[in-house]
Amino acid sequence: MAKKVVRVLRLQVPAQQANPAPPVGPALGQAGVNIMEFCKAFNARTQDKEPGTPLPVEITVYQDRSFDFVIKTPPVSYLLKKAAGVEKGSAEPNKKKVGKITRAQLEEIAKIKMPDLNCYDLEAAMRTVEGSARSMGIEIVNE
Amino acid sequence: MRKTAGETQAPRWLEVHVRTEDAARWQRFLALLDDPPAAEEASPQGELLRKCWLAAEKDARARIQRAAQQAGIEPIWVGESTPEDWLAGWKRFHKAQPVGKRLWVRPPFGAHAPTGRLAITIDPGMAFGTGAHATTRLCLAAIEALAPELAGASMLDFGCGSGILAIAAKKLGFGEVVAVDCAPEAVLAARKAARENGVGIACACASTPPARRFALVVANILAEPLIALAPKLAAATGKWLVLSGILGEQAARITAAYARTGLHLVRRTDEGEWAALWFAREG
Repeated sequence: MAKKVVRVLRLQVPAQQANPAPPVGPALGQAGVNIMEFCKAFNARTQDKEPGTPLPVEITVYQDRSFDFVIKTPPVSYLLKKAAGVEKGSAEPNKKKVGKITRAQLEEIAKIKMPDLNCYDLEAAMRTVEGSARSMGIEIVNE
Repeated sequence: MRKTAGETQAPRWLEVHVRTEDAARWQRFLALLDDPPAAEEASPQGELLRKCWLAAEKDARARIQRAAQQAGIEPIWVGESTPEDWLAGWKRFHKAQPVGKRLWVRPPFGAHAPTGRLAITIDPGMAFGTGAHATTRLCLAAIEALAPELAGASMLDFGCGSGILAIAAKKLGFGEVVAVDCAPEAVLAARKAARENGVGIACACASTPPARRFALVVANILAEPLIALAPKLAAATGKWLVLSGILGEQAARITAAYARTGLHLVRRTDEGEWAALWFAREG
């Protein structure tokens, strides 16, 4: 019989650097999950990622307090800011642009995000990422 | 009060709870607070509770109130949040359990060991190693299996966390036992656990193994540091080296890294997605 789910937690954890500080410690501890057990498993599974990359993670907690977790791709805003070399998005994206990325970079980000986007093909994924870039004041240039 | 060496003041946190389906307002609230650590918690009925944590500085409550007003949300709770509270949540579910053929790992509030089993009492704190994790159990089983051959011999627990492996080794008849971790909190936890279990263990804070040999070296850390430390861990190994903290799919890379050090793989044990590798020195 399938185990009964008592809670689903969503948080962002830096690759290879899960530790008991917030959000991991309180979010998991309050849900009855062994904090260090999660940290060990998360850090082991992100050994091939760049340390510190923020990774959204969805943790399913069962009645016996065992858990499963799924690691998603980094947030699109993080990938866009990194590609454009900027710290923050624009507060007025229509008027003030904060940076630019090339179409090739846009395609690269769309490829990374594909597993988590509701898109059938790369072109649709690229349009979604382009929309996010626009809302952050990041321009797409041809070269 | 004056702090003793290694004692650190745990940071205090304010926890904010918000019930809103409006993700955009929640994001705005977080942005106004400079994006503090945050989490979402969904119940099976689909109720969503959003939480965030701010360092409990003296203006934190006022900042939360201002940001909530500007973002148009209403926190349902704002209160102090301490590591003790976080641990209390899962301690309720942490029970004593048998490990291997001879050990019994228990929290101080757990059931006593049944006849014939050696009790190891570990207070589940922030240091890794409560016996609940597969990698800890794999290492304990290895120590137990090697104990008769290595009675009275030396043992190094590298990346000791709570000190559970070092304590087990001492109780199973090893001679000199040394526990090393790069985290000062872990060294303090291991020292305390050794005292509470009535065993003498030398605990030290270091990020590399001591430059000498031990009959048995056990390192339950993670794949990348195990690979980076391969020459040093191998140099510290007199006879046996047990490695864990490894996912099954990472085992081949570890084996390749250690093959170059003159140790050979004797055995691999698995539990769930985790593996432990046993290496031996020739001759």
